[in-house]
Amino acid sequence: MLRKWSEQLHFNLMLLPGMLLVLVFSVWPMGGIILAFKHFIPTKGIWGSGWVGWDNYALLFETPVAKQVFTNTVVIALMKMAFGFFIPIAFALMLNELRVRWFKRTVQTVVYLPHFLSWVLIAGILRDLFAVDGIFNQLLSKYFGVEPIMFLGEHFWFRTIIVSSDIWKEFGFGTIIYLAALTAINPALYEAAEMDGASRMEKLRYITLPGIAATIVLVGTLSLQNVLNAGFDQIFNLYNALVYDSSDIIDTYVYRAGLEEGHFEIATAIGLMKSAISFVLIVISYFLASRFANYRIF
Amino acid sequence: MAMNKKWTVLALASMLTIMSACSSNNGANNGNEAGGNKEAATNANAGGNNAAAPADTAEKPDPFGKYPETVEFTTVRPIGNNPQFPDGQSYEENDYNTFMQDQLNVKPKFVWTAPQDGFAYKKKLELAINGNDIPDIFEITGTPTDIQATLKRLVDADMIEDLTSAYEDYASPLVKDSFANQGNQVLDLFKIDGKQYAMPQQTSLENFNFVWIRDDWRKKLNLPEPKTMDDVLAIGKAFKEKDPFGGGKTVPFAMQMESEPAGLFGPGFLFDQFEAYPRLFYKDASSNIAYGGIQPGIKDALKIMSQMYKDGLLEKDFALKDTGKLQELLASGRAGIVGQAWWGVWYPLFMTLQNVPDADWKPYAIPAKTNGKINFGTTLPVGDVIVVKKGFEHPELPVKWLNVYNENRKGEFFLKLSQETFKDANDKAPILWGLTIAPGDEILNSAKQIVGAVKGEIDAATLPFTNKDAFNNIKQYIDELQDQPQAPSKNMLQWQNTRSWYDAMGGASGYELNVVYSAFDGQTPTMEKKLTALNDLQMKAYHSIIMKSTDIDADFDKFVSDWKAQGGDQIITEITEALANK
Repeated sequence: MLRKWSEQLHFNLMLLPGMLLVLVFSVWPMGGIILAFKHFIPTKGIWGSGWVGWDNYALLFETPVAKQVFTNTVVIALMKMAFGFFIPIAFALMLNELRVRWFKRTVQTVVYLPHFLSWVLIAGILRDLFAVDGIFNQLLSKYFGVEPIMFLGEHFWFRTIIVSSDIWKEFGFGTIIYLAALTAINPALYEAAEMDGASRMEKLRYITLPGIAATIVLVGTLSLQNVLNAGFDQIFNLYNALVYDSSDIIDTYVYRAGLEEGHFEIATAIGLMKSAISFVLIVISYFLASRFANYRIF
Repeated sequence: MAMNKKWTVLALASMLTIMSACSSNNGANNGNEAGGNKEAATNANAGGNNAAAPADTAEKPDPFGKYPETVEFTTVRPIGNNPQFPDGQSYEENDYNTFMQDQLNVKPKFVWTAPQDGFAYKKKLELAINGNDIPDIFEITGTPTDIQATLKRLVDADMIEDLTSAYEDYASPLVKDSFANQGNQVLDLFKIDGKQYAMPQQTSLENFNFVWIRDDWRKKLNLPEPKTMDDVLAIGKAFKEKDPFGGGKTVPFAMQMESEPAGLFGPGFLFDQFEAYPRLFYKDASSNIAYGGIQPGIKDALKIMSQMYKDGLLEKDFALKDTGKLQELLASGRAGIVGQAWWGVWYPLFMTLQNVPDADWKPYAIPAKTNGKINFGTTLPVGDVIVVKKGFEHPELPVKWLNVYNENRKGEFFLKLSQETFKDANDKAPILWGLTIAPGDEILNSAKQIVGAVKGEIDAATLPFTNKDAFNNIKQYIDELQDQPQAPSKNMLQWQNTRSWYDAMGGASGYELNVVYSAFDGQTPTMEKKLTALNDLQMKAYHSIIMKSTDIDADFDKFVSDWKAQGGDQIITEITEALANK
């Protein structure tokens, strides 16, 4: 045993800095969640402020907007999850059928790029593109004679833009995961199918899809934990008073109530509730993933 | 993007310069008798007392009396983050404290100092209070409600002196007049059971809403200067029809209500026309607490804005614009009319001139049709307060200190001192220590004096030191303008001084003011819970009334009843109770 420990010492030493960072930046600040049950007074600090039990939560559910904010979050997140689930699969399968390798590589890189851009930047571009006198409206009126539409000021269009821009930004990243899974399929299977006279569609149906089924299930179940994450940076940079009704999500509300108006305890309470629900969802998705895709961490 | 960032940095940099200029300009005051003459008088006075027998001060309270023996007092103070002193100076030993010692023969000893940032000073002071270890004289920082709460605790624990008689006997006429100028409301905030326990700061009112118009366009289209809001709207319509920018790209009114209905590019000047104050809880004519945002005046203003929107005077996607977007309009020179404070020309209006050298922004103060006055809703202009530890021998000392401070703060000596310390680096230690006590109309009066001096009605030599700079620039601009009209961008500084001091504040000083103060600056339990949601509701309703409503009366009534039902009424009741219990 002792011999083993000394043999592993250098591994442990290498692990140490990382563990320290986690302790300092992730574990230690977690103590701050007690704020969710306190009435925060800045001069008294986190410890000194008085306890108020569940008051912050009671208050949260009293506010008339709470229900709406919650619904918006779930609806937007589910829309993003649904589209964000199928599009990368379809795109990866299409790319996979391409025979020209340089073209495949180029497309793969280009669609992956937006993943690295910040929402602040993209939101700025979107606001200009979809402005009333923006290029999109100019094209519409020039070629289709459509009256200018205030895209970011109408509920339907706003959500459409939120969901589609999110997918545009992220589907390249999802595609890469599936492409990686596709390379793991044994080429011999395709050759055998070819010999048996399978068509392209049949190869897709009976070899490719079953080959990446495990990955699909895994990605799908893991995305469950995002039900309460509708994307703060994106919506915060795009929304406005006209579309609060359809776009105000938990995170943006927390920002306004918590930071702008200085109610840190409310922000903490909502954050904690979100974490708790997300934790349950992660457990469920992990359970499902291990059951159906044989994916295990522990 | 990179360009934009550069401008932002530049703008901020110039803003900082102005801010420091403003803070020193804040000084200007009260007709000719203030300023230089009085300062000299003070010095003479203090000197005289010094020569006279010390017994004199003991018998008759002298606001500027010098103590016979050096009085040392312990104190603490909030500081900047990285204070850097000129050689050989510190918070205890510096030119300012030497000056104070010369004047009053007093000497502060700093027990500790703590940064103002991140509540460090507040926290440390809180510890000191809880540990019953307070210095002789100290400053309490925070919002008026915070300060009131701290004050109440100190009084209940019998830790601080009653300053009522110290103030009565020792406050200088200037200080007393300044407080009286605002009905002693600021002093009253810190009275408990009729006793004055703290000396508060009081600043001048200045953020009235002005209508700024592209005057070169107005002249080009041969339109008269606006006297009423109807004139302003007519100019807006002319900008729309004649399209002075070209290509159909003129934006007659560059306006936003993104988060706050007042402020930069806000429609505050329209609300003022109807004596409507969208975010203010105030006492109405019958002394009841009212919320400005739901008054009928708001509806009248919204009706005008809705018509403006229909007529294309506002941008089609007006709701989506924030101040950043509107600055783009300014920089590209497309904006025709904007709402701004008197200093708007220093930031951000000068941006237009960087790309359009011939552009000229001019401010107009438009009195309201309802009462013929310049209306203005605001919170009480109060800041930090100073209190004295129970049992300290000279409770009048801070009163005297503030007398001297306020008597001199417009003078050359203080201005040079503060320029010396504030100039260039932000982290140079500000050694001046005292609370400004300014009459509410200080800036307006300065403007009056400057305008008078420019017109030759007042001898320019009698202007307070802080106003001379503005005067010189304006004089230069106006003289040059008479000989040879030049583009404002060629004489930026002269133009800015003229438009802000001479045209804006000078213009406003010709009208009667109607200042409506907030009745309550704290937070009630329901405010804490529901104000965010109520403010959202208000902004949503305003926007949809302007942009979509077909029946404004009905929609506004619905908003008002929603606002009341969702917590507004409750908040008003709570404020009424809180004020009754005080």
